[in-house]
Amino acid sequence: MSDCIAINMPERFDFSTHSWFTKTYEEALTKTKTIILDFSRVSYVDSSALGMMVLLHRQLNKVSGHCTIRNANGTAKDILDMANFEKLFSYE
Amino acid sequence: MNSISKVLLLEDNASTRLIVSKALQIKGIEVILTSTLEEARQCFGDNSIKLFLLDVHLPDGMSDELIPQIRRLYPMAPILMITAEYDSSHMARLFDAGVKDFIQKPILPLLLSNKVQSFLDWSEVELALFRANENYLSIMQEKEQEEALAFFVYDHILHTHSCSIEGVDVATLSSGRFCGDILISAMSPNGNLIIMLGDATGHGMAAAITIYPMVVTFNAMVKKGLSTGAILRELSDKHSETVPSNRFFACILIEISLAKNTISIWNGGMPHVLIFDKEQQLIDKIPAKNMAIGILLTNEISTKFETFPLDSIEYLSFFSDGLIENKRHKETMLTFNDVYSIIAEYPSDPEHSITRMHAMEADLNSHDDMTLCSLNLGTLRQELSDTPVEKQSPKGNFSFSFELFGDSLLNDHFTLKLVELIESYGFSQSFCQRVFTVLTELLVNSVDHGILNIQSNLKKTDFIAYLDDRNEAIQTLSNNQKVAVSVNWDANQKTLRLTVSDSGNGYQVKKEIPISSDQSYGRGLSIVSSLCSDFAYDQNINTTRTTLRY
Repeated sequence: MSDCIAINMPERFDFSTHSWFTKTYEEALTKTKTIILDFSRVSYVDSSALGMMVLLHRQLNKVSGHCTIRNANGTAKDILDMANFEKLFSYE
Repeated sequence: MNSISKVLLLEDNASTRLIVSKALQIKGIEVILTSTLEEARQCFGDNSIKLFLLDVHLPDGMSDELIPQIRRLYPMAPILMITAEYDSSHMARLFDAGVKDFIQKPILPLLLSNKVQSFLDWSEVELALFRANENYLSIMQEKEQEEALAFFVYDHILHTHSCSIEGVDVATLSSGRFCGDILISAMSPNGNLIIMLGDATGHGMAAAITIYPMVVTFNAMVKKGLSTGAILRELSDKHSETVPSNRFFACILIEISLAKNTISIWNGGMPHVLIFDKEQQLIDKIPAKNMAIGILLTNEISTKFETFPLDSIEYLSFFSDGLIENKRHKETMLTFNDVYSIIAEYPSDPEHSITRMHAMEADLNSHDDMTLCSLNLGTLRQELSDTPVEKQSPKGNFSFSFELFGDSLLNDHFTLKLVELIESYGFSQSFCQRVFTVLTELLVNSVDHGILNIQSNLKKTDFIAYLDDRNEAIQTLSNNQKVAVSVNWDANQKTLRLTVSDSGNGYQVKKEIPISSDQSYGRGLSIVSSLCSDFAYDQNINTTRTTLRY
């Protein structure tokens, strides 16, 4: 088991990222219970991104894992805040 | 010295000529025999002559008169005189003219041949030295030119890419060559100040070619409004594209955000960043938790910044590690801790600290380069609050409309390309991010629910089933199914209107239902209404109208 795995999110995190994101976090969950979503490059998000993150959160809950969102900024951060994601994820 | 040497012998006495030439030939030395000044002159075109053996008195004059010409034509060839006289003033004049030695008559063949051989050997050594020196001079000259070019590049970087800002103080000492350190700062469109101190491997041109792409990328990305984490990744990408893989770029990135009251620090391969409070007391040190750029692959780099409340810090000091190279204090190298202590005495005065460290050097000529920076955050907070965040809006109105039919509705790039088109009119990045989200939600709504008629609550039970349904429905898209999108910018009102309608059956706008944070669906329209100043759906014409205020 790794300490934690950071997933480097792409500039555009929306419906089109769905299969990549699901595959990436499922692979990561076989190696760790602690995931970092690195939002440094994320500029564009939509509601399906939020949906996918909730699904990730549910998977982590099953294994008592945890996810941290790193460097969320701009409108992406506003939208995460709008969805009250601080209740599901921690920020750094 | 194995190569055959050629000696010119000028001697009018036949038996002496014979003795000399025999003795030399035994040594493997080739001899050109001449007996008059004129005969000797005729041989002067031969570049392979390595030594001259001259009798003084000859039928057509004194061989003294040949010497200036020989010196000119054969500057490296030794001249030896054969003579029976002991006129010391004449000998002195000949020495002055460039003669190396005298061989007394009567000639002792063994002594003569060894002497000649010894002069030939020495002459070759001298020639090799002469060539090495010439080589050295030309390398030095090239190096000087390279150094001048490195300085030119560095100067160019500083003049075109850097602005000075009150509150950022820097002190440098340079050993006269371009040291590979650079301090640069730039203002992000969101009003944050981003500062970078970089230290490239090596000096001179090697350092300049590492630094140049880093600085250009830094400036372009800050201007574009990228987050500092994204800037780091861009620097790493640029490094791997343009810089040889054995050249690294250690750096400290600092972002100061007045709006968020934070200061964030990333240290990659540099000495500690020192943090001081109002009383100039050292309150924290930020060590390098990351490696210099160029060592790890871009996706291995941690973009984690250390973040502090901006108003809890008064001074910040950081430096390049060239600072401790060659510095001796009581015959020992200065350690990092020594340097931290020196800086901590006057955190607001980098010039003072650097002068003190300079004074500790054992050999003042050998000092390496030093770059020490100090941020006065009181001054910087003031500077940033006085600098208005530029938010110019496009002056002219525009409107576009698009109609997408059948399979064209599935083009994933449509929204982003449209947003890029809108951005090209000069809107801020954060506004364009909002436009993207709103447009994406409206299009997905129109396609998935309006046209494909997929039930939204399917997402609730099974996201995968929803995707399957969607994939199946997509196959049935026909060319008379369409979505129409229009974009209108009103420059006076500073509003952007997005209107989306579709050929489907429309959708139900449910009353605002509070959405819990762990719900994986149903956020689309609530996000749209939060991001827009105005949101309306007309069921009669199946059209959604939204307005975003700039």
